Amino acid sequence: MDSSEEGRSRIAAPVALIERLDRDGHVLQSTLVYRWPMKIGRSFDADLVLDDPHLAPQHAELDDVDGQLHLRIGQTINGAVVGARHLQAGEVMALGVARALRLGNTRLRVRLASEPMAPEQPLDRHVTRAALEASAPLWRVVLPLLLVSMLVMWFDEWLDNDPGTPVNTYLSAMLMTLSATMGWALFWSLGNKLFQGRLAYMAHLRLALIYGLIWTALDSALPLLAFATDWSFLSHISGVVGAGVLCALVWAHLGLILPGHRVGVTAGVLTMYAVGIGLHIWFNEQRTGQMFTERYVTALPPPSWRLVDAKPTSVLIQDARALKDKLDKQAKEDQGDDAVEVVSGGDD
Amino acid sequence: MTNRYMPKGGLQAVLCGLACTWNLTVLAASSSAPASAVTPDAAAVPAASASAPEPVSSSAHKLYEQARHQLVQVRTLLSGQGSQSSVGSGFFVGDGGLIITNYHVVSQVALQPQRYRLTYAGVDGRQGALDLLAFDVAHDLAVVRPSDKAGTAIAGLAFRPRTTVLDKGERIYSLGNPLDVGFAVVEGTYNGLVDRGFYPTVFFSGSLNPGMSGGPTLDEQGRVMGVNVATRLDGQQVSFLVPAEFAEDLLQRARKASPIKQAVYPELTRQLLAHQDLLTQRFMAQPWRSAGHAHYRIPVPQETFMRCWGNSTQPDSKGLDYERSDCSMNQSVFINSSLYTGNLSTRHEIYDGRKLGTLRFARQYSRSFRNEYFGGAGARTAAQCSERFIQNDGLPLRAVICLNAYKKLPGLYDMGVLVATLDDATGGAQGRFDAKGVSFDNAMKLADYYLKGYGWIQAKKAEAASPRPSR
Repeated sequence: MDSSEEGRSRIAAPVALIERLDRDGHVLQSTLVYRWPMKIGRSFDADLVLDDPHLAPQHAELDDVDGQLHLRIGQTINGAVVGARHLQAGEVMALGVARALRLGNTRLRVRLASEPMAPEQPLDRHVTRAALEASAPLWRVVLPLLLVSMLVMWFDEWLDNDPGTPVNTYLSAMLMTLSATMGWALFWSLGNKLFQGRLAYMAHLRLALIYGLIWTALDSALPLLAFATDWSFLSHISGVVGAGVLCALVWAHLGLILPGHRVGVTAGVLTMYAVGIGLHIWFNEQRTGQMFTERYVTALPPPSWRLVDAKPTSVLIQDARALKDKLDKQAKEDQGDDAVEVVSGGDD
Repeated sequence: MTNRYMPKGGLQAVLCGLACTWNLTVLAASSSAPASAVTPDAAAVPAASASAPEPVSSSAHKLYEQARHQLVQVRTLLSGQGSQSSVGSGFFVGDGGLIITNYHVVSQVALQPQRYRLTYAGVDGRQGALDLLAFDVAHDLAVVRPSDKAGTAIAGLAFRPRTTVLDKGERIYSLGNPLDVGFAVVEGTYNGLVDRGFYPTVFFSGSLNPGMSGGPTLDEQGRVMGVNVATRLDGQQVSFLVPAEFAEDLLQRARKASPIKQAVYPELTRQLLAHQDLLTQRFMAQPWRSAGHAHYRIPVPQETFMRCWGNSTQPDSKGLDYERSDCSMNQSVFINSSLYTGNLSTRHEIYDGRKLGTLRFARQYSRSFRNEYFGGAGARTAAQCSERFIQNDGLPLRAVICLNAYKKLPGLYDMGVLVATLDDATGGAQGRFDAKGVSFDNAMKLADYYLKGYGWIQAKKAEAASPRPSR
């Protein structure tokens, strides 16, 4: 941003500020105005020289007439656009409160020194945080996270493999997960670049690693807890909880990309999660008469992890007896829908 | 054109009704190459090889001439357009104009009378509609009658008296219309009853082909000694017949029966309930066998009507060592081409994970426990399960009982029990028991019976209270 105040006395107070804006509304150049009238055009005679090929040498003039700002259009073929009006050569218009104008292909904004200033707007704290994070040396956090994640991946692979499995098996599995994580972070970084103008790759990678670790922890802990306490619900919900962690990760990425829209992002992600889980549960209920996909707790950790007592067989048989009514009801409901019918052809 | 008569995957299962659970791998392989089961000259081989001493073909010729008027092809047609949906064989028997065939030949009509109808075609070109009179689903038999009672004039085939027993190796002759190619007589030998069958089934060494189901098998005197029912697709000339006595019993019941016009689900349910009662009773009358494990009692069924196959890991494995045993009945009850029921099976795996260590073993032990499926699509509801930690004489177990209800056969359920021992951090046993098509009470009895089959073996009972010494 450069000011073109060369050669002007700094003693006089400016009467206005003219800003040139780019297509996104960002300021390209700002010029302080010390006196009226202000000639605008491509010619070096103009007070504000704009190098836009769609401008005339003396394209327009801004002037203060009885305390009100007027725009006078010079000898031009393109004229100016103010609000919804297209001004042609020679026309004059009082600008009033409409201070955004387009001359040729150039957007300008005018602010008068005489008008009262709007109070300072509080900045969304997430914007500040995003700004801080973007400049913080994140590798200090990301590097340990990356190491921990790799250790976790290695441990998971180790559990899956027999003793004596060659190291390259572990490496290739880890590389695969790692590149997927990095690709994921890159995807969100590109979004960041699009909306914020910078990649913030480290910030996104950090999120992916943190939430990845949370997901891994919950996904292993819930079934184990279910085993320890014999509270099978804990294992059945692990899928829904996993989806929740994924949604939270998306929410966090979006928070970095659109720090000013925290409320909208939160509402959007929450809705997405609620609708997704709702549909999933509804579909399961329709298909299987149960909320969750998992039929039984499948985790069998070392026996000593069991905290509850084993019961006599008769207790389980009693539990199973209670399933009869539900099964009969389901069979009756399903009977109308489909049958034991299969149309087959051929010889018997 | 020939493709139409080539059996499809589903219908091979029909034909192997008796044998489906026998050797799944081989069966699956043969279902992708159906032609191997229906090689056109397969029947010619035994005839040629056996023709040396005596011109036996004259016997076959004589029998066929005697029986050709009683022999019919039973066709299932689509009600509307009348094209045939499946074909089998049948024969007039006795003097009432009644035809015996297999239940699986008429099952489409029995279950969906509004969509299918039955007709017959005789050797001499006679044709007509058929009525279903009675069926015996457990023995896969049915009795039909021409709707116009045209057969009353025909002197039907006679049954071989029950008291006269055939000897192994005696020649018998199977008649039918294989693959809709044409009526045929197939020579073979009687080889007694199938070992370890639940219901008596004749082991016939001869080539039965799809389409011959329901046809008669005659002795040298031309008397019906069995009804063609199934063949093994993973072997040669290993075929099966329903003993004639069951057809004779059903015929008695059918004499006074009136034609069945509604879907037979209520009667089917009644017969299946009777079957599962007998099955449960006979199964639970037998004590469990030992699995031969040093510490655990693991329930393994007697091999009176079940058969067990075992396998284990290679001795040089670096990971989890296991031994596995699968026991199943070789008979199931055919309901339709995609639904077999009324059978029991058990399985167990003994794991030794000392080479893995605690955590790695836990991962693999869990994975094996997870790798179980409780059906639920189609004829049955989705599974509902109960699970708990239970114990038998001090041996802690994780046990899951899952049940599916049959939608159209009210009162029948599939029950599956999963068990995993939980006493050792680097070893254990997992088992599964399945009872298909049993009543709820029997399902509970069987589950209880199976679960109580687990425990410590007597010698180890004493040390069960204390932690086990490392193995």
